[in-house]
This record gives sequence, C-alpha cells and structure tokens, in this order.
Amino acid sequence: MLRLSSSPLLNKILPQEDAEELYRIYPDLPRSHMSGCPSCGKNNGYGVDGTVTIGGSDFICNCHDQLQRHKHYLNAGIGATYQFITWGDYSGDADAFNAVQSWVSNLDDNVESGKGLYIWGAANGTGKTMLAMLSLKECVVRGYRCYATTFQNMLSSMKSGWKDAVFEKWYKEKVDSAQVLLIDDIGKEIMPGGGFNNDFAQQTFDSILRTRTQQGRPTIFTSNMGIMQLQPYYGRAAVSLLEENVLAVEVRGTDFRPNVSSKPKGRRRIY
Amino acid sequence: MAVALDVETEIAATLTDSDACRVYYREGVSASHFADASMRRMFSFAMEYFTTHGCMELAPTAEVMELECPGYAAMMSDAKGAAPSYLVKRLKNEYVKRQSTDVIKTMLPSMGEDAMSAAIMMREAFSAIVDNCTPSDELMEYGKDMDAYRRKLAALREHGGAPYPFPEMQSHTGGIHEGELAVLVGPSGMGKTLLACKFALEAVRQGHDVFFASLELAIETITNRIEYMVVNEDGLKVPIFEYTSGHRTPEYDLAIQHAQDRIAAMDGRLVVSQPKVEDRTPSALVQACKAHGCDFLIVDQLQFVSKPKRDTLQESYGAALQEFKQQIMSPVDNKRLPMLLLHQMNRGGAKSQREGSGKVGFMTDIAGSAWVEQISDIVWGIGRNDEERNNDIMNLATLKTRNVAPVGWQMHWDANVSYQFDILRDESGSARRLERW
Repeated sequence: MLRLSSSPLLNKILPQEDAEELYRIYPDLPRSHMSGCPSCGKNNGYGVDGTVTIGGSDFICNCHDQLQRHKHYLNAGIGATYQFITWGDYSGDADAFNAVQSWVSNLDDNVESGKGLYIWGAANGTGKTMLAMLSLKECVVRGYRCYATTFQNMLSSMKSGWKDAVFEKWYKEKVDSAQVLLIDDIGKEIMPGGGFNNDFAQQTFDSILRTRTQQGRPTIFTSNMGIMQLQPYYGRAAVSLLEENVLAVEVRGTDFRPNVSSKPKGRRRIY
Repeated sequence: MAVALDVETEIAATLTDSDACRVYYREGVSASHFADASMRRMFSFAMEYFTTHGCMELAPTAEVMELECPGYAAMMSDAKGAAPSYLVKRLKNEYVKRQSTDVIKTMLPSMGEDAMSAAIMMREAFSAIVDNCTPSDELMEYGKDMDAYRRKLAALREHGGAPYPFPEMQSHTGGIHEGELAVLVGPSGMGKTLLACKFALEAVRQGHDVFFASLELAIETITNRIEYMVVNEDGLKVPIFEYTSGHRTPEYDLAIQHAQDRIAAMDGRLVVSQPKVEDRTPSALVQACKAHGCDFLIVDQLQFVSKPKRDTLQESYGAALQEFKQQIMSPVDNKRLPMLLLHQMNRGGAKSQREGSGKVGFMTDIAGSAWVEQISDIVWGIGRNDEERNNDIMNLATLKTRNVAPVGWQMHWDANVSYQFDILRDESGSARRLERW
C-alpha cells in the first residue's frame, strides 16, 4: 500500500504564538500527529499512521504531514472546506482555470515582482474562491507567509469592532505580515446590508493597495465585480494601481460548488 | 600465582619504544626516581638519546642500548610487559615511599632537640619529593624545532579526540579534541541523556572505547536506549512506544537481540558504569575511564558528581569542573581524554525555550554558568518549544565556543516511534541551520 507523500510543510514548524492561537481558536485541533490526524482520524490507533481510501484506492496516511498541512492552512486562514480539495476537483471555466494555473506556475516570479490575481465573475458559485484558495495553498506549501480574509473583516478589524482583542491583534499581524494576502469577495461590502461607509472603505482599500505595492507584495482578490466596476466606489487612483498589479481572470459559467469536505475521516486527505 | 613486577626493569625494557619514552618525558620521570644504579644509568642514556638524537621521535634501538649498556638484552628478558603510564605511577609511588622513609628516619632522631627546625626541614624535604614527581609543564619555544611542533599538530589532528555523532557537527568542530571538555546542557527531561547515548553509539561505531558514567539512570536504561537507536536505523522494525509500553512480540524481541549483537560487534567498546557514591568525584570518574582503557568519557551529569566542598554551590561546581579539566588534560600514554559532560539547565532556561526567546536557552540559565563558561571548551544547548516538540523537532546550538564559530541546527528528534535522531536536511542534503538562538 502506498503512503501519502510528504510536503515541504512537514518540517516547517509554526511559530509558537501562531500555534497557540490556533489551539485557542480550534480547541479540538490535535497537538501531535501521534494522537490526531485530520485525514485518517488515527484509525489504526495511537502513534500509528492510519489508512485512507481515496478514489477507490487505499493509502497509508502520512499523519504528521497531513496535520502539518492542516495547521499551516488554518494559520493562513484557509478553512477545512478548501483543504481537502485539489485542482482536479475544479470543473468550472477552463479558461479561468488555465489563467490561474499560469500564474501559479510562475509563482516565485509573481511573488518576487508583487504580481497578484484578481479573480472575478458576476455569477455566484463559479469557483472564484476555490481557485483563489487553491492558489494560496500553493503559496503556503512554497513557504510564503500567507493569509486569507474578507474585506469586510479587514474593515471590522480597523474599526476595532471585535470583542476578541487577542484575536484582533493576531489578525492584524497576520494581515500586515502576509507575503501573499487573499482578500475574498471584495465589493460585497458595497452591496445593500454590507455596511459600506464610502470614505472609510475607500481609505482602507487605498491604504492596503498602496502599502502592499510599496512592499512589492502580491494580493489575490476575488469579486463579483470587474476591476472597472470598483472605480465609482474606490476611486480612479486605487483602481489604476490595482490594474497594474494583478492578473485579472474572469470566471464565467454557472453555479457549481464542490462539496468534498463533507467526506468523513478515512476517506479524505489534505492536498 | 601472581609474580611481583619489578617496575624498574619493566621500565628499562620499554626504553626502546618511542611512545614509552614520550610518556616518561611528559610525566617528568627522572633518573633519580630509580633505586637501582644500573637502571638509572640506562634510563639516563635512553632519555638523553630520545630528546637529542631522536628529536623526541625516536628511541634508541635495542642494539644501541646493548652497545651502551652491555647485557641489556639479557637483563630485559625477564620483563613481563606493562603500560608505561601504569609503570610511571608505580615507579613514583616506590620513589615517594623510599624517599619519605629516608626523610623520617633521618629527621626523627633530631626532633627532640629542635623540633621546629626539624619539622621545617621535613616539610621542605617532602615538598621536594612531591615536586620531583610532578610532571613538568609542557613547553614550546616557538621557532625551535618547528618540525617536531608540526608533527605534534598533525598528530593532534589525526587523533581527533572523540567524534561528534553528526557529520555537520564533526566537520564544523573537528570533534571533541583530546583534553577538551564539551558540555551539553538542557532542561530536565529535554533529552540530554538520549543525545549522549547517540554520542556514545556513534563513537563506538567509529572504533572508540567509550566510558559512559551514568550517575542518574540505571545502566540498562542507557544500553536499552542505544539498542532502540540501532534497531530502527535501517527502517522501522520496532515502534519504540509500543515496545516500552509492554507490547513485546517475539518479532520485536528478536529485532532487539539483533541490535544488541550489532552493537557488541562494533569496532569500539562501550563501558557503562553506575559508580558508587564515593566513586563519583571528578578524579575517580576520569581514573575509572582510564583504568578501563577507554578513550572517550561521558558523564551524565554534573549535578550528581561528588563535588569538592566550597563556600558556595557555585564554587563547588567550579572546583569540580577544574578537577575534571585537570584530569582529562593529564595524558595517559601520550593521549589526553576527550570528555562530554552533561549539565542541567534551570527553569529559566526551560521558560525561555518555551516562549521562544532563546531556542536553546542562555548561558545564564546554567548552574555555575560563569565556571562552565570559563573552564569548558564548548557548550552545546538543546531545547525546543511545544510546537517543535509536537513535530519531533529539536534545536541544537552552541552556547559557548572557544575555537570554532558559533553554530546551530534543527534536528529531527523522534523519541516515540523510530528513536532516530539526526540533523534535519533538505532534499539537496543541506543541513537546516538555525538563524538565531
């Protein structure tokens, strides 16, 4: 029986403060691969790699690597939904897929030059966030400091609107230090009920863009709006800056949402 | 039936051996130590020859000795053969007894008339006896006999003391050199003894004779750990956490037996000792190592060494370390002893490791730190935070170095399943260095 392969994350240890924050946010998160695994659930007992069935074939789990991936992805703000999926699970717009893949295949150069992604499409459920998260996972595996968030959360944190001060401090550090930042669903705050405050949102967006451009750090955006559609809300200067620093990818198609995360332990693996 | 050894004849018989002459020279043996006049003459001639014509490298041949001292060969035919260092000790002992008896016999009758003067004279006489038995300090007059100096340096490099268990550690430092005191520190339960077991295993594998003084753990605990390291080194055969928690199958037992046989067949010898409390002084430990003919001493650990009494605990640590250093620097058969001494890091050190401010703690977190820093040649620290422990990672770094640049690595440290310990290397084989600690 083959064993699941190891990733570079196996021996890349999270900083202690990040690990402690994760254990605080996710109390059930296993500390050690000896006692817990997100993929096999230690179905062969304590200290022994379990068995997972993927695509009808049995594999020996690589609990240590699977748990390390799980922690690193959580630390990057990538939830379990996107951890158990891979590029092969995407069955949406092929052109968009190929465009994102081309960005990923030149990842190191793109990170070096601060070139990000702007994945957009008017329809919901076409796999925009999925493509963005898969791209971010590649960044995590390559060892870049990454973080995924929503623009609404960023606005909230800047208003100090959260009651959890510890998390808020940690969150700000994650956003500020991210080499690759994913801002999901930009433009949603403009929609009715999104709590849009034009001046504050505009300043925040402009500030983030400018800071990251100056730092030469790429940002991955997803949105239901095209870049030019943001101009009335965020201003011409910001939109121009955004255009210069991202590869815009339009995702066409109809609603599709993969639901692989609902597979039980023993029948899934983290990619 | 044991036959009494004639020390002087035995020494005379070794005078054609350059290594033996070197020992006599370094140990400060002189002709005056001999009671027998003919032996005294032979010794004088041989040492004169060794230090002049022989350039400290060549002893006189048997033919030369026979020519200079007719009857030498016949006289030496009764020699039984013994180690020069042992003979030196015996010779000096005989000399001290003989001289001291003479002093007492001569001076005692005059005690009644002027006791004070007699006592002073006795003191001076005894002092002279002691001085006459103290090895002369080594001397190197730079520029004089540079060939001999270079040969000495080459020999030191060749001997290399004891090896470190990991290639990166070895190549960075050149090993624990002869007479060098390496100290390994870490908080309680961190894995100092485990790492010391790894030191012992790799040294034995490379043909060294290791004396492992375990002052805390039972002998079997040490040997078992070494067996666990060996049993899984070619792939997992016995999951150690299962084995140690009582799950002992016949296959596991057989694999362990094979590991035991492999260790026994290694080139070097492993001598594990748990000395009695009265034999735990630094001198006694070093002497025990020398007596067993071992060339690498590991002492686990300083806390349990019987330390000389001083005003403060710190000073006691200092005195113990000085005694260790003096003892290992004193050569036996021209070789000084390399030593690894384990030492505890305090709770402050454990805290700084947990919190990440110091990956392996700091020198100030060690009991008697000033003395450790001053007397040791290199101090290695091990430590890790909780997340590193969860992921079988250990940090290993120098806390003090004398002759090499500071260095640190991350180690793979699996004390649960495979019992394998090694420096972490990436796919290209490069060791993972610590950037700061």
